[in-house]
Amino acid sequence: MFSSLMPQRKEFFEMLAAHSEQVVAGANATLRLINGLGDAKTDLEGLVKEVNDHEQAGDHIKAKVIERLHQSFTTPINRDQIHSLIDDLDMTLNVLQSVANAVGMYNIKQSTVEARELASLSADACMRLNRAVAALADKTRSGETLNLCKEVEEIESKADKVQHKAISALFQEGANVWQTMKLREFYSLQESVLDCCQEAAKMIEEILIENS
Amino acid sequence: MEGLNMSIWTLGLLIAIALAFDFMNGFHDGANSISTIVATGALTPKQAVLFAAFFNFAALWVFQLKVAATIGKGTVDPAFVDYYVIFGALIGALAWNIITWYYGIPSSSSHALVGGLVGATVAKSQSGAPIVWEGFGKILAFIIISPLVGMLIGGLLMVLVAWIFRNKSPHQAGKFFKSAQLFAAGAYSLGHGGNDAQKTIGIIWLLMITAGVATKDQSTLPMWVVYSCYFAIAWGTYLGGWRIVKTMGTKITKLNSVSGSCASMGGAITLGLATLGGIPVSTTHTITGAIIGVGAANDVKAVRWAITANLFVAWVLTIPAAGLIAAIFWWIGTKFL
Repeated sequence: MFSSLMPQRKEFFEMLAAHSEQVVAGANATLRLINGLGDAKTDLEGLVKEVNDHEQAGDHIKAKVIERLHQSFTTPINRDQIHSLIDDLDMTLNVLQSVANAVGMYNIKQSTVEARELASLSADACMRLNRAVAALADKTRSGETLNLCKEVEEIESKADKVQHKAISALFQEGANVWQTMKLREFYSLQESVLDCCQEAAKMIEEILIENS
Repeated sequence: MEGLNMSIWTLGLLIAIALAFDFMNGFHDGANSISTIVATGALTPKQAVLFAAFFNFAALWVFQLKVAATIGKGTVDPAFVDYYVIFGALIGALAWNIITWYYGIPSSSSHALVGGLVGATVAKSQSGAPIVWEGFGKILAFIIISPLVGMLIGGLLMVLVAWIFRNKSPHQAGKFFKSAQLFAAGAYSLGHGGNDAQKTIGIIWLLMITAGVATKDQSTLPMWVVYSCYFAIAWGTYLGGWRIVKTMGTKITKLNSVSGSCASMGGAITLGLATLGGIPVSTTHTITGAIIGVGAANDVKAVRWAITANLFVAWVLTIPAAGLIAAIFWWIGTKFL
């Protein structure tokens, strides 16, 4: 009754959505980077820079969210949940940046089917996460938002299997030891992106339960 | 009037029971005014009771005796009242207060007293004729009105505070409210003392009218009655129990210093207005309404409506239950007193 008269502070939803846009852009650039490995026409450095730029933009938004949390008497959803969600989103972007930088650091020249699959799964998960965050302010769409979170979690378990399969393939008899070391590390980073997406999705579910 | 035959001993005994009721009222209700400051940790329980007791007594110098007048001559016709009725009314109200205190239900001492008075009078006259509907109706109406007004003012205060402090975090605003809520709780205790001590003053006044030692003219009411009633409620508050503090402060909705201040202030304003208007209202209802209003402003789901419903049942039952016990004790009184 009185709650509609309280200051609404919708800007928190806007900032969260803006951050998740950066996550999607970062994931897409990472996907293009991994798909383009071994192709002479790909501007690898440019793509890595693109991911780094999105990561920085995300950091700025996160800082703004935290600053606003300190300057707001009321928040549209629980203060701690806003903080956790922006943390999870930002962590996703940080790990994407690590994946992009690992390409140069580990001197990975060729991508594998599994690396491409993991990259495409993370782009997919980030896209769904973005849609879920964007719909967070709209209570009438909570069913749809919840489904998106479930889908993100399904994608994560799919990625687990892909990683498992990929590592098994690396340790086949007679494998190149250097290649095995590099790619095992790389796959594990790629899978971490999806773990972060899952964390964020769980946080959104928690928010939905509390506000339903 | 039979009352004219009342011995000085009977009169003394009834005044003592009335003061005991007043003491119980403080014991029972006084805690409401400090539940929020204890729940938010602004004062320790010991400091808080002392604080509340002081302001309960200080109300003596703030409010006129309008509420006492409503109870004393505006609820039932004094001509129908004898000391059996007063005995029944007081025992009925006391018994109901002890029952609800024991179970930790924040019911209303005021309505217990009014219910007891009406119950015993009706039992004696075997009809509703002695009820002064103007006063009793007003009291009944305010059973509904006082929590609603408390809720409205509490909620609006919360909205106002949220807009004033919109660019500060609750933690930053909390520093201000640590002191603000003491002010609010002091005001609330003042309102409690003003409204509730006067109900007992009203009963003793009524008793003195029936005994022929005072008249409807306020100047005939001895000052020691006023002082002792305020003292009894303050003392009761000081010794009061913590069960109700717990229910009010933590069970209905979680309060911090900001919402605690708004709830106390909402309650204080409502009580002050009622006391100025001479309307005996329930302090319990008022603070419960204000806490609900504040909870609803923060988040409707934050108010635990099931517990609120429990309180409501206690409210609806208070007048009939106290009335019934009073009628029984009126009958016992006629046999033994």
